[in-house]
Amino acid sequence: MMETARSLPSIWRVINLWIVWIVLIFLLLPILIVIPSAFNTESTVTFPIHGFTLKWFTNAVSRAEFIRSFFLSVSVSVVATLISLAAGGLAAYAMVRRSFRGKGLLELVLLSPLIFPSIVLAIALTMVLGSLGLLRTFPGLVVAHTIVTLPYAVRAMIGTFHSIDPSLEEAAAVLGARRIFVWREVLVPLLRPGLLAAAIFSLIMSFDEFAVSFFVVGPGMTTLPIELFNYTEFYSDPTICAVSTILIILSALAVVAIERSVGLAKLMS
Amino acid sequence: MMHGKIAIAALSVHAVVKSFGGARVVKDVSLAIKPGEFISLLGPSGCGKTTLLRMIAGLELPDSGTIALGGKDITSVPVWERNIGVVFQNYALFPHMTVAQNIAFGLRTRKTPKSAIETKVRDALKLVRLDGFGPRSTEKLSGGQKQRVALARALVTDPKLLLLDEPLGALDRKLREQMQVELKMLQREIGVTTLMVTHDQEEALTLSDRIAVMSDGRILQDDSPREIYERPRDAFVADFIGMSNFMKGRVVDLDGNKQLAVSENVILKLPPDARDATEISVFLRPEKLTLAELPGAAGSSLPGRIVHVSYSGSVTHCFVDVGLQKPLTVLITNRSNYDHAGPRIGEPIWVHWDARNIVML
Amino acid sequence: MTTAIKDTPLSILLIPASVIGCLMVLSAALMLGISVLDSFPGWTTLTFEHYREFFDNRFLLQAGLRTISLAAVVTLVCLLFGYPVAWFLVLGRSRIAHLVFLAVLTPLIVSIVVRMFGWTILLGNEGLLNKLMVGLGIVAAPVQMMRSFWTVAVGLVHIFLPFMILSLTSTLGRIDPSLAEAAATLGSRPVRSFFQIILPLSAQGIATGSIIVFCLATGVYLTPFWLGRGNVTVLATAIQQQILETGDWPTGAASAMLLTFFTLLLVAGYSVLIRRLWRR
Repeated sequence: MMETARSLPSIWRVINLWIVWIVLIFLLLPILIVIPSAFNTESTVTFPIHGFTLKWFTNAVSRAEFIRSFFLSVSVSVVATLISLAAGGLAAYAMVRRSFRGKGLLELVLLSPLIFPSIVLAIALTMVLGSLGLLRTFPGLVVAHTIVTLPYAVRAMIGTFHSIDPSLEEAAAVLGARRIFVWREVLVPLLRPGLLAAAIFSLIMSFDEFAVSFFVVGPGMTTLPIELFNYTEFYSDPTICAVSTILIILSALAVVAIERSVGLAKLMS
Repeated sequence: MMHGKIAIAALSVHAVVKSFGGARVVKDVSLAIKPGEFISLLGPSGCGKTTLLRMIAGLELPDSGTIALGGKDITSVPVWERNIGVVFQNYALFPHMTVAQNIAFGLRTRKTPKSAIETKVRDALKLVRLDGFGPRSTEKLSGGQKQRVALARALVTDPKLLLLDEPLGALDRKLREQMQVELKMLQREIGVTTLMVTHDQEEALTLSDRIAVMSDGRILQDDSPREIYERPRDAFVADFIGMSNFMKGRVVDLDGNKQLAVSENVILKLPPDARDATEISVFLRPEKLTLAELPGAAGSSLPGRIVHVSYSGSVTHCFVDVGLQKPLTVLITNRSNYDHAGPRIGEPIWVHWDARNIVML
Repeated sequence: MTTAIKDTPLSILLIPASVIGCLMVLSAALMLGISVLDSFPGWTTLTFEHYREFFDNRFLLQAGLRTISLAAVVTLVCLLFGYPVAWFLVLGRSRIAHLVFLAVLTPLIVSIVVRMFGWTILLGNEGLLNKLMVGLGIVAAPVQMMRSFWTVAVGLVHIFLPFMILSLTSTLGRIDPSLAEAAATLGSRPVRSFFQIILPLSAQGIATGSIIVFCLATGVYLTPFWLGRGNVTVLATAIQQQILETGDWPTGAASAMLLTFFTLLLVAGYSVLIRRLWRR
């Protein structure tokens, strides 16, 4: 084939393609390898597996602390995401459409957790939450996770508001729509893809959050990643693989659902 | 003067075919351009004209057929070895470079000495009347200025062929008309062989020495602008360029004169050189028709009623219902600024014409 | 003209975010405050002693240097491997490119804990890679790969590569394809066009992607903790030990502040450099 302007010469193209394949294997292998390991009969995590059993799944779902921490993680991330979306969405709207004093400062503060090393945030929050008596409590965890997820929500929402033509709102207003109505009927539908992207990102960030939670959690109030980490401190059997497999299946379902409804690629770009 | 020798075509395209994912976009196109000629590829969007231009530039590879530049086959020569200047529709100026750096880009790839680059860039800027714009950023230029930078960048390397892809499409009307004149003068001055792709018939008519009308991947007619307008070979060309009044009918012989029977009672005179055919289509350009209060010669006038008047400054288009399928369009020149008694809607009127102006398809 | 929506009071829009923002500022201020106390809790004077202590404490200083080099290595690797993938995603408009994009996004959605565990299965002493190497006779006995700097780096690249690719894809996707074509018609070969046109125009994406990855990588805690298992101490784990185990809050806070300052300094320097290199 002839070289055209946009494609690099064939040798470069071949190298490029190889890198793509290597990256794909690199990205997917450590995730996929967990699944067969969960069915291994051996009581250590090895690969290839020696026999087929479901006992690790039974063990996983029968451990009360896993179930408890899973539901804690889910409820913390959902509540934190909702707060982040509401607070971040309103602020992003103000920052895109209004001019006010201290706008730059507010944006800097809200986005700062993106730049600050998370350990810094963890320590600082531990002190603040400690002095408020919120350590080892559900509200404390929610506050911590909201701070971690807020920058992602704000960033995504600022991008979305920028992409919406302000004249649409004006047109709705000219047609006599009231404030609440404009929000509900015009802005929210237009914002939906952006909101969804922000929500997904924020849910993932919160569900995976480790460093900050590590300081904030306590007995009976532990999120799933930390519970799993604690388990591996004492056991090395494939129970974690079983839990991971369940999480992978849930993630895969989420990916398929998103891909079906709006398209993951469209959402993230 | 060629002294009887056959001139080597500056560009010759022979039997070129191109498909994209099963859809044939360019179907067996052949075309030759003489040195120094300005030719336009004119057609609606999706007719394959841009694909043809891209194949000539080397940005696409034809499925079959050959492309020769100055007698040398370049079908499989990569773009960067062709030395064909291209002005892209959106200009494609490098946004991270100044005007001068943009123009110098092609010279630097050809390892031109530094001192020569400076002079050439200065000359190129002068040529497109942008003296002193060298150090400016391209992003703050107006549309017309960007256009000129793109032109200077394409011309500075003395290309064997200049390709223009809808070069004036992004400009507003006034600027476009002004740039048309400039472009044509510049092209004549340098004498560079030029191929322009456009969907704007007016642009093609004013700029070109020759127009190739394309539709659905084929060249329908390749002629001078005058021939294309006055003697279009088929209904598509006639319809695409300018306005036309089409009529269809049977050819009948009356006292040795060929006549066109459009309907029971409408029988029109045909020009003396009319072919023998049974069913034919003919057309008349609106400016070849005139309005009158009295009947004219039988067979080259029809009575009717004005159904719509469209005033556009220098001219007015009148639509006259003469009992055919569609009203006839008549173009009248607004010669006076004091006589406001122009045609009125509902007015009964006669449409006259000279039978020699009838074009048969 | 004022419209209904523009009349929504600014305060309603800003109060929720401001409350959270204040909490963040308060946290940062509190930490800055604690870092200059002689001891905490229960303090008597203000001092910069703990900042000096950081540089005297070999453990902390080494952890700090390790953190920066780890973040730098991870950023570089993400850039080198992310760029070709982003390039492929932007150029290929095929179904394959779409599937590759999905595959790149998938790790983002899978919990980091799961991924850490996957790496353990792959790289552990009993892991797949060791079994392969022993089986193929490349090595005689399993190689200790866990608990090393490079394993942690691999784990971090796995986490941050999608971020880099997303950032590069959005910039590369905005580059007008006709620019490369224009360069080609001006006699420029593809490799030259890449270095003269594409690379400078993607500088913004390179800068954004690198900064995001670098900043996130300096703060990582779980990956060095899990894959390093006490053997790869980064500043985050060192600070955590300093505070939770030694109870030395001021030194921990001072180390955290230093890490922040240094990161911000590097980021600022880096973005200036990128802009200098390509004037945009």
